[in-house]
Amino acid sequence: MNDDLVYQRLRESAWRRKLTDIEQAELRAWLAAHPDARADWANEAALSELLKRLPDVPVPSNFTARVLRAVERDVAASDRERAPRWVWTWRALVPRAAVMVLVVGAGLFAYQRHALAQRVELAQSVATVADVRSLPSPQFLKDFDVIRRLLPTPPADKDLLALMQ
Amino acid sequence: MPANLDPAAALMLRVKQGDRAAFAALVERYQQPVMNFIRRSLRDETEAEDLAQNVFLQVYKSASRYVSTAKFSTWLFTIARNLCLNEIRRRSRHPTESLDATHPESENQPLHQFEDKKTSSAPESLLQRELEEKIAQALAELPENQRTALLLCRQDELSYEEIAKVLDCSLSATKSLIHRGREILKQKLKPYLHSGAWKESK
Repeated sequence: MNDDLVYQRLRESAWRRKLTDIEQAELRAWLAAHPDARADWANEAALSELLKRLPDVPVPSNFTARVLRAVERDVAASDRERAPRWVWTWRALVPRAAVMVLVVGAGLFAYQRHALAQRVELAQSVATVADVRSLPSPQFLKDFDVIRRLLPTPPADKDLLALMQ
Repeated sequence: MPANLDPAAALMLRVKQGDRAAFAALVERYQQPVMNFIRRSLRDETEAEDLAQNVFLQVYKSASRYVSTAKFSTWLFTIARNLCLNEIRRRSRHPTESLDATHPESENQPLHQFEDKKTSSAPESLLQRELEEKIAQALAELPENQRTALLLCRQDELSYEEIAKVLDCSLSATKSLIHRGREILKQKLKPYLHSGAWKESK
């Protein structure tokens, strides 16, 4: 009975939808020729009716909103995972890097000022030494005492001498 | 874009380009059929809601892999079925506590007590709920592939060929699964098939 292709085709159509007028006529003719199948067809139809009348299950009114929030959370989590660590840590390191640049810069500046001062001092020393070279050699100072004695002495203080006499 | 493109597929192509409004429209349109499918597959209301959310989350995350030649509902229910299978496997590895377990201090007292919500309802709705419960129970007792085939059969959008794609089996095997599942349901629900209660309730 159930192996009959006509019955099978009509049964499979009835599982999904109401039979058309032509199909219903075809079914009536087939059942007239196979009366033993009437009970089975009645049970099939009754089960289809039961399944068709199963009510929809309740869906929460905020279901769509919950799904969208889940999507947002997932997208945010994916973005954090995909971003290179240096991008993620860049926001944390920018202030620290700025401070480091300032500190290093100040250190360089101080070093340069110190080096400049040292160069200035060195230059002054060199200049002083350069001036020393222009002095006469020690040979000129050999007869310093003799020459000094030869230089005109201050005139005698006659008044003092008169008093002393 | 082809002129005869499935409207849901057209929305999904916009989702591929990051259109969140298109995605929200898809969720609105398919949340009921997806919830129906998952709730009747898993029977746990809270887990069904979570899993249904995950279905759509997976749809969004997999948008780049969607091709417009595939019908969106086929793709959607493939994802739903796979997540249900994962959940069923997870449950089989970590079975939950039996609802019939007794309290450790008193054998006469059940460990879990639930409010009987039926006692305060009208007789007609009680009968209706009893029928719904019987159908749900009978569906739950089916082998997974038969149950899935029957639940997908209720989705008007899916043809038998598309149901076969979701089940990853041939067309004839799909129809065989539906037939065998229905035969079992007819046996389990025999007392209710011709009770007429459904005709009165609608």
